[in-house]
Amino acid sequence: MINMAIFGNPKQYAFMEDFKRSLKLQIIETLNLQGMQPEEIDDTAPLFGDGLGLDSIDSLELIVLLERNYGIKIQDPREGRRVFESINVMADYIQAHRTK
Amino acid sequence: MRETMYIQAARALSAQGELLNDELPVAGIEPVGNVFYFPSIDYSRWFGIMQLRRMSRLTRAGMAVAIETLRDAGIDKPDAIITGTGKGSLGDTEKFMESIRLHEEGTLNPSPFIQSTYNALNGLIGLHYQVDCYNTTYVHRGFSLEHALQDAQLLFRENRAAQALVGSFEEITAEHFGIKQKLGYWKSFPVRADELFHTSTPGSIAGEGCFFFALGKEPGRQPLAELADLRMLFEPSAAELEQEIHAVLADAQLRLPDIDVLVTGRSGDVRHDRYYDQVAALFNDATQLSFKQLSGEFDTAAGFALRMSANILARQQLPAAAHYAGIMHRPVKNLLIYNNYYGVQHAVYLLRQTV
Amino acid sequence: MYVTGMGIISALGAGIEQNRMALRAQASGLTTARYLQSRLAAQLPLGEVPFSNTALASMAGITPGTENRLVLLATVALNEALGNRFKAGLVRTGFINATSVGGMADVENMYPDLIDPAIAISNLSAGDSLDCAQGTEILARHFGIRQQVATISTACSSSANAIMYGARLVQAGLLDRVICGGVDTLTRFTLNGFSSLRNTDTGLCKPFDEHRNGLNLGEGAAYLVLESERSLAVTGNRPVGLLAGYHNYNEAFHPTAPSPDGNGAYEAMAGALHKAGLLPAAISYINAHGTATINNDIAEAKAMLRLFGGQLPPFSSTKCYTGHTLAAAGAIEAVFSLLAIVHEELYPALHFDMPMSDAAVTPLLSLTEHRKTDHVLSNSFGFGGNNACLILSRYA
Repeated sequence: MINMAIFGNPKQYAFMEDFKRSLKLQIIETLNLQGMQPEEIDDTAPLFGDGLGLDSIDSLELIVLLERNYGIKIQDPREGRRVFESINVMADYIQAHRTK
Repeated sequence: MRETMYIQAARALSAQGELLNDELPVAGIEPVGNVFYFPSIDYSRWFGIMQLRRMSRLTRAGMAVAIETLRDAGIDKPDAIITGTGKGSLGDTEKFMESIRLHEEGTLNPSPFIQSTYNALNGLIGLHYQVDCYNTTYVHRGFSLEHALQDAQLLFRENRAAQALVGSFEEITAEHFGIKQKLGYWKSFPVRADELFHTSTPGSIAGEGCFFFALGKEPGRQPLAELADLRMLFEPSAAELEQEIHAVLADAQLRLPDIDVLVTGRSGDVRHDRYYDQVAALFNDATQLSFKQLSGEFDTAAGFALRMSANILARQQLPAAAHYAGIMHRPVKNLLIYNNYYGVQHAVYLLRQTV
Repeated sequence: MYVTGMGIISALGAGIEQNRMALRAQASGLTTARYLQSRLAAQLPLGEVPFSNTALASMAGITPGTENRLVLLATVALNEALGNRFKAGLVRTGFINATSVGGMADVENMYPDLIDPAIAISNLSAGDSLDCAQGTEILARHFGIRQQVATISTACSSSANAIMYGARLVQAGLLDRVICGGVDTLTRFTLNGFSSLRNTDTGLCKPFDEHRNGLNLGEGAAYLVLESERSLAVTGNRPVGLLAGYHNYNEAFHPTAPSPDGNGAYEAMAGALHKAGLLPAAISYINAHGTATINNDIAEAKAMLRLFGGQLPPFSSTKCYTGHTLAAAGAIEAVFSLLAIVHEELYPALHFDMPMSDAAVTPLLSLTEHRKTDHVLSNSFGFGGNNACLILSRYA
């Protein structure tokens, strides 16, 4: 998904950057990554497997986060893996589907 | 159990904070609100952020103690991982129960549930060492650690292991303390450590801690002590208790005066003093030590005594902080631990100096 | 090791007869729970024991309102296992119990009051029943068992481990006889726990099926009485079967999932066969762990295929009848294994339509009778990679 913010509105870009930072803080809190700083999580790096190294339990935790904070219900845990591919993918998905 | 095992290493974390210094117990640490909490430790020495995310307070303490124990013993991969706990990770249990209530059984975070299972720590130790081995957890109050030790002894006898990591882990939370308060477990007024045995009132003070032991069928390089016998008694009569102690000594071909040091689990709870008085009366000449004025009372407090005792035998030093009665014997060749948990689960340990 | 007694209570009913009849009739006990107070009970099929606490008390011969559901279930099963001539003191007798959440069913209902400093506890025993030991000790006292009293809690492999520990204590000469098994009740705690893991099926569970979607929880209790040769001479009990082999193998793969190749399961089964001195071909039937979770069934199937070299004996998971009874599962399924041996019949799977594409195995689909059954292998795999396997055999 092309990030139109790069070409478009600086305000939108700033908003997404802020949002991604806040999302990283929420992820750090929910997954209990005490001591990790948002700056350490790369926007494009894979969150699972070789990247950050999250696993299936973390995926379930992130599904809870999406529901509690954004009202997004993910029914199939396997869909979760696609949504949580990276911060960018996750942020875009939340913005597109959030009900809160 | 009448077959010897060797305690090759013994590490712990209790209110004494001994994970970092591995010293014998010292005086001067006071309970806070009748609780001996173990201190906060910087676990980054052992674990990265990703590992720590799955480990709540009790689990990280247990893991660190287990790692130090195996390191001391020079064991790369344990042949068996056997633990005991009375209440497990209470923090996680409480957290999950609260979340069920708060979210009315809606979408819930799974981690506290997983982490609350009694054998979660065992699984994590196995993962840490990438070792597939015999692994089990006993959850039976004042017998939890003892069954774990007995199981290791069975494994050695069956030739299924040459060494084993055996330990206990226990925590107390404010919430659980409150429940136990109502059940009459604790003193109804604040006590200091040095007052514990002088009030003649019911109840004790709470404690928590993790105690791990590297056990071997053979002595190994430099064992701390020999665990020569271990007996459990379920609600014994006075006669049965005395009989069992005589049996332990007879099986070891020892007489009563051969016991240099008697360590008792006196808890300050007047309701159960009579057992300790009865046992102490058998060993008039022994040095009498106590430990719950240092550790507090909890299901697996015997772990504190076991570690302390193994070190007494290894270092031939008697901690003044544990002194209860009698002159301080030296040398210490034979040591008996007698403990009970609220008069229900009783255990007798015979430890001997390794030659 | 001689098995001289067994007792059981599950969603299929109380006692061996009721359970066996249901298995033979392919009548699942999974239904909508009537007694469990949970929002999820309306959404999820559960293997609830179909008796109220009052009814259970009556069956157990206990004054209603004095013991919790955990103790009641266990007492009913123990009464059957021990029979009415049981005298604990006749030989050195121990009790090795297993449970995953102890008295949680009652504690979770009274918890807000329990933690409120302003409210006194009216029932001290209930207030102290959160842990695993309380129930065990009440039962030990009730039956007069005084030696080697223990409780094991290793999630879904608990009672299999209890049976193993009990057998080893007898083998080592520390006991002559041991009563071992396990009990668990349905609780909001476990129901919400497994639900939060997305491991529960809103429909009837389909073990080993391509479209399986998780487990259904259940509750129950089962116990075996194991005796040494020496003990038999004193008690005069007649063996109904043998515990021929067992193994515990913990796999370091993941806190909750088995390794996809089923190595842990494989080692547990291979170890049990080795202990029993049997070759895979000797196995007449496998009572699989078969929880119907995505992960377990594939791992277990692969392990079975690898161990039996493609020559799989008939197998089925009976969790489609009872639900996953957690700590009680190992013992309940050991009883089912013994029933198969004694009655020379094999119990079929339920809710099976299509084999898994990644490991195409087909469980037994219809009741097989008049089938001489010498050795049955029973699997119980738990969280943390704790894999236990028991082998029950015919007593000639």
